[in-house]
Amino acid sequence: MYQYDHIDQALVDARVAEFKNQVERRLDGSLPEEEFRPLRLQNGLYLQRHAYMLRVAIPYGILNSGQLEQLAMIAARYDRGYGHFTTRQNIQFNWLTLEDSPAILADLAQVQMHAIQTSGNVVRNITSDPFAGVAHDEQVDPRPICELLRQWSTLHPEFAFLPRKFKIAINGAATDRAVIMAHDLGIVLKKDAQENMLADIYAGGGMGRTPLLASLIKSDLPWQQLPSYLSAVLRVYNRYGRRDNLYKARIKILVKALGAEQFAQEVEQQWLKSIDPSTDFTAQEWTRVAQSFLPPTYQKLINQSIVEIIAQAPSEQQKAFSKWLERNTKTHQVPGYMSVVISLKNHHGSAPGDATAEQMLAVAQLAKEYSFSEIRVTHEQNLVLADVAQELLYALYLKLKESALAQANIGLLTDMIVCPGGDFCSLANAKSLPIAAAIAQQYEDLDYLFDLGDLSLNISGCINSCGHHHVANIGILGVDKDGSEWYQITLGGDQGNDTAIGKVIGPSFSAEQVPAVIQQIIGVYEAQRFADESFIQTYQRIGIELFKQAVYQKDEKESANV
Amino acid sequence: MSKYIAYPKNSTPQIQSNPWILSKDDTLPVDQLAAGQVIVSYPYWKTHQSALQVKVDRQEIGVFFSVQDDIAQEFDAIQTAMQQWSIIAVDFPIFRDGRGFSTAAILREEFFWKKELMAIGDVLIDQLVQMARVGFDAFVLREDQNLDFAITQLQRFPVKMQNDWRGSRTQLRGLTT
Repeated sequence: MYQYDHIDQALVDARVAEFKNQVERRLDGSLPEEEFRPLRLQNGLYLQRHAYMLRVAIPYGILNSGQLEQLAMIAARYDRGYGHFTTRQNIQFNWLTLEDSPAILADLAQVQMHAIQTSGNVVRNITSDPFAGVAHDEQVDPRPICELLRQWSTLHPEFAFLPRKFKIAINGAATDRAVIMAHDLGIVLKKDAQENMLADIYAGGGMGRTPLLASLIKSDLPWQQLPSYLSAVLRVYNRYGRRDNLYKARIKILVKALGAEQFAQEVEQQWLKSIDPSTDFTAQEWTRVAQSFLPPTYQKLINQSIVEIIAQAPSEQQKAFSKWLERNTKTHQVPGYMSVVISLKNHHGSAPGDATAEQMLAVAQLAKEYSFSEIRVTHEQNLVLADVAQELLYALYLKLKESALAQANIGLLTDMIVCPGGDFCSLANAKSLPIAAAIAQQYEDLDYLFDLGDLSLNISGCINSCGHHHVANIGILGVDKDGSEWYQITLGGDQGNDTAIGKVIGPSFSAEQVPAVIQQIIGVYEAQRFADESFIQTYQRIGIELFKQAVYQKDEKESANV
Repeated sequence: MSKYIAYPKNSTPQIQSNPWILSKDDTLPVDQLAAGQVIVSYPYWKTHQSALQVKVDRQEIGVFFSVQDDIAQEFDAIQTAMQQWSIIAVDFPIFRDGRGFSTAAILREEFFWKKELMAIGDVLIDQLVQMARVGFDAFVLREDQNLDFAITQLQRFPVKMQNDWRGSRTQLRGLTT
């Protein structure tokens, strides 16, 4: 993975010193909260319901064992012994003090980490495919571009106070694993016939209260020109994006108001005016960054068959191990290797995406032993060991089990994306974690979950949609009705190449009703599905009506009985 | 005379006396403008251009843009008029309104404005680095701000990761040495 040079380190160190001073001025009263707030947000520090929360950047979701060990130390020393991995491949600590925050940032800087631009109205941490560089369907390894753009966007002076936050996702594989269509800016990397790397640019996607999919605004942009082109996009947005209404300030509203074609023209004109070859990425910059992403020293292995891999386990363990293999491993570019997904949705009541300090230390150690000391974070809030030899899969599985990290549920109903919700977040209208726990409890039977197959269920505690409910097959959204917590259900959302926004099925439900409603929805799927048809395929074939009937007719009968 | 910070390109920031008087009252007749160097609004300039010629000849006129002025829309008019101005100022109505950063960058990159570019309004010490990088070389800070500390702030970052008005990104310098 990428290692800081003296420039990266000098920048992060200077930023730590700057923030330390800002906190001192806040604490002595010379800097009012109103003026401090954007400064702390641009250093990832939020004031939540109970305490300060720090969101630490994990650029494009990649970190090494030493960094994860440092995160574990921070969790143990400054927090309550755990951290929360987020949908933007970052990690959050929920129980911090303002006074400790400069020391935490200094601890992070020691291991080449920071919290710069993980919040605030700026270009946020860039996200990407968690299987970058190893995915079997990869066209272009997106990591060097991710890193070059991380540097380009870090403390960009012109875009320090955009109308609103700006999220970029980059994908370079046949399958979109970065949800690029639901981002302010999505970049698809590809190669032309001469092996030149080109970028297609999509703008104006997003979730929140106005969910919209992004539109293609530029095709075949040479990768070197990404800085000038993205500057043009951001300059147009910075100047014309709305600042009068927080909820209409994202770029998607501007793209929608102008129309994608007109927006693309505005950007093109701006780009042609301000294009300057000296801003282009150079071949030397590429080389310096790309050498960080050369393949690790793989052994020369041959691919094992699934039968051979399962045979690593003693016979009484083979059923459980094969289930884990089926859901939690992914094919790899290199013979004899696979990628392993570590589920952070353990069915034991902890919040989805949470990991304890002990679990972080365990994963850091396993990464050293089994995967070249590297860990990836997925936007589904799980972890990945990207380079595991097939012959060691059972040994790894056993060790994961010891740390309660071997739940075989990747892509299944209980692999939920869930925001922290009303238990922590001051924006939330409703709690999301207890809903997730109630649903997980209902689907503890792994055989049943496997029978239901691929199914995404995501929960957001408010319309800001941090839990990505819009792009879930089953989405649950917390809403406030007359001061109490209610939940609206959407169906038919999807991510990947068929990204779609779910449709609301009808009036919302109380927290107590939600698990039963989910059961009714699943019941319709079970009754209607053809063999091997996934939930979303059945939904697309039969539409929303039967689901509505099942959920609301029963509801009416119950009300009638009262 | 009030103080401001002058930070010319290829130089170090210094606290100096501000020779410019800001005139925000667009209803004021030209003959009632303050004596000496005055910065007026762009709409005021457009209305009173000919009457201001005396001050122009003495190099005593500057113009400020507010966030309402779309300088890209007015490109031709500004391109012609700016030859007569001795300074341009950009107003920040609130420190967290980032439009002024793009206005400054456009004035430097697209209008090729070479003279002083002054940040006015809600100018705070914690935003000076960005301002200095996009093209501002003069800063009239809000009254309660500590000017000595502002000098420290401007020199806080030894590196940068984008080209800007003051020079290339540090990565390029690092690669050539």
